[in-house]
Amino acid sequence: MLQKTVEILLVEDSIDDAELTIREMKKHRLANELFHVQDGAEAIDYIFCKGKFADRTIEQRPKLVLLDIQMPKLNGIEVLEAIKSDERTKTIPVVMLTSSKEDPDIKRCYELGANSYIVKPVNFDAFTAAIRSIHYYWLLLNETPVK
Amino acid sequence: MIIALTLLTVAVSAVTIISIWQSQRIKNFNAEITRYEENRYLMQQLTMAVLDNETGARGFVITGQRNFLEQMIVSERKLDELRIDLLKRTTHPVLSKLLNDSLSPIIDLRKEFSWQMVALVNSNKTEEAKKLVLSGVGKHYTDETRRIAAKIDTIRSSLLNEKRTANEAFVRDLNGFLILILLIILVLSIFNFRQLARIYKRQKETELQLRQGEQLYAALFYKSPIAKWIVAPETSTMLDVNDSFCTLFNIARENVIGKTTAETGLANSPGIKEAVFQQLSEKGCVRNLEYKTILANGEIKWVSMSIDPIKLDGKDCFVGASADITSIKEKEQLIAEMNAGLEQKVLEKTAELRKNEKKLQELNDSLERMVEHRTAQLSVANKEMEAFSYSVSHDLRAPLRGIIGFTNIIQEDYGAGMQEEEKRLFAIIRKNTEKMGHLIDDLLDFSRLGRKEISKTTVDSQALVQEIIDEMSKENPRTDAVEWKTSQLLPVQADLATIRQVWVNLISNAVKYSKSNPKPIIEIGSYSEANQTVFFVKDNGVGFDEQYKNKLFQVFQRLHNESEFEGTGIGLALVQKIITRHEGKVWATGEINKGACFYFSLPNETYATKNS
Repeated sequence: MLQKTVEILLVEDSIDDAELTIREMKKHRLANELFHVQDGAEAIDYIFCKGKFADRTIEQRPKLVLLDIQMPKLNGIEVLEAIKSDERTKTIPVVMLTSSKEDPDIKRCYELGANSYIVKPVNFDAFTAAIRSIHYYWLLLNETPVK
Repeated sequence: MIIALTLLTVAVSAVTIISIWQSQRIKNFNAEITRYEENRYLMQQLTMAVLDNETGARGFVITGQRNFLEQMIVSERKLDELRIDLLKRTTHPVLSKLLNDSLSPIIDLRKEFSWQMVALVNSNKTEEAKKLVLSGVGKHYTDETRRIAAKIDTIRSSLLNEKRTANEAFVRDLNGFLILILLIILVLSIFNFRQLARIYKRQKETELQLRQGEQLYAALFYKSPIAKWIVAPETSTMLDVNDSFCTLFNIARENVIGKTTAETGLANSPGIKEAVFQQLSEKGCVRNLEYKTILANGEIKWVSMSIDPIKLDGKDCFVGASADITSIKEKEQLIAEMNAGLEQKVLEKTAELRKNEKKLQELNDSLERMVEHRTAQLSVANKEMEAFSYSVSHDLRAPLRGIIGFTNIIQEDYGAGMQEEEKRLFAIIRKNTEKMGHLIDDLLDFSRLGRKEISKTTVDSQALVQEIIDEMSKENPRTDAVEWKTSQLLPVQADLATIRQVWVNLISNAVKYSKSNPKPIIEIGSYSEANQTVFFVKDNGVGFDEQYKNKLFQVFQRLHNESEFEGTGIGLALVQKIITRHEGKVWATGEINKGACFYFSLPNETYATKNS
């Protein structure tokens, strides 16, 4: 599994939110090659092939990163900063996940180069619609959509 | 006066000169007359001499006696003398010509004729000589001579007469002129006399005034309430003092006048003489020199002295004026003592004030510290509040997402096997969870507004409201039934984002609460009133009970059951908060089942100044 080219990297500390997100993405056939890490530190290790992901190569870049802002250890903003300040990774599209559209961090994320953000709504139907909009990025990156 | 006197002198001089001239002229004329008489006499002599000549010559011829010949020779000499003398004395050209050209040749002929006869006699040709006498030639010469002489006399006489007439005319004219000058002299004399009389009168008046002035100044000196004195500086003798002087210095008049200043014992104050001399040498006078003196009876007096130089009978003197300022000085001293007391009091009060100021400063400092402390506390509280909001936003919503998400999964995955009641219960869970989500969102909105900046721009209320209505019509089919009555809305200075929220809340409320009415009418309008613009949204819905209207704008306060009208109770509280932050007001009127009207006002000073 580790050798496989990951299409989408989901960085989400809440297992529940992650499960719901993955389920929704699967429903829309977006999660076939999705990898989930639980905090910022793990995300950095994964992207920059360090720690337990040391056997990965940096060229095996995920096509999209879904990045939760509020996380323990390294938060989403720090991870975003790391991705966008490295020449090898800064072209990876990053979509931020946030609990509130009024989050003051959203502005900061855009400044650092985030491509978009999705509010994780309480009403799950709305969230589903939001996940669906990720499709847009998918089409942008892949000429052939994932089956 | 001087001009008149000068004229008078000139006139008198003229009279004198003219008189001298006139007398001189008369004298000259008299001399002329004398000369005339003399000339006439000489002429007669000349005629006589011619006769003598003829007589001599003839007598000699007839008698042959020698004495006739002598007579002839004598007359001949006399003739020459007279002729020369007359020529000398004659200046008039006509007369000179007559003498030279007419008389002289005739005389010469006469003389020659006589000698001719004498010669004939001497050559004994007496008969021929007698014939010559009888021929009458000699007589002719004699008559001719007399005739010319008479002619000369006549001319001379007429010349004299001419002169006399001219002289008389001249004297007459001169006399007229003299009378004129004398008249002028008379006029000038009268004028001068009058002037002199006037000068004399004036002098008398001046003398009188002088005398009155002297009396006045004497009165001013002697009757003055200020002590006055006159001193001769050479001898330091007191010349005069007035009564006030005697009263002031408590001294008899006879003990002062004629005494030296030292003898009067009044110049006893130390340093006073030096001060007087100094002022006199610097200014030439003394002004208000104040000094203390002790009188003979031991009384102490304060005196203010002024001294001025004057001339009395040509002598340099000083007149002095001394005023008693003892009472003033005593009062001054009293005031000085009081001032000193006052100053002491002021110093004490100032010290007290300083102490109070210091205390106040300390209080201020402590207050400032307290304010700083409180501000810091407030800032911490604000940060905590933000952190809390953040936490609410993120952490409270996460479990809700779990509840709703996993409930959905159950419904999706196991819904097919579920009973209707199970489905209904799941739906209730879901609805409640969603509602909690809304509550959290609204509460966050409400608290966030307190921190948000208000940035005012000109808001086109008309366009904004129309846009909101259009949007609402798309989302909410209920609005189709609504009859909108919007009048032209006034533009206003406001923060667009928040004022939009106000309109959305009020309009959506109006739609919501008028749904029970089969013909809902919503009226939106505005008007200007005392520097503010008032907007209102009026509906014909369920209205409200006015006795609860104070609860309308409070958070989570609702006047209707939720089953009737959905909502969290945040909308109007938010409206009030926004309008308050705009320094405006919100209020409402309503009646149950007869609709409600919500008003809000915004100040328009800034609007007015920007557009003027």
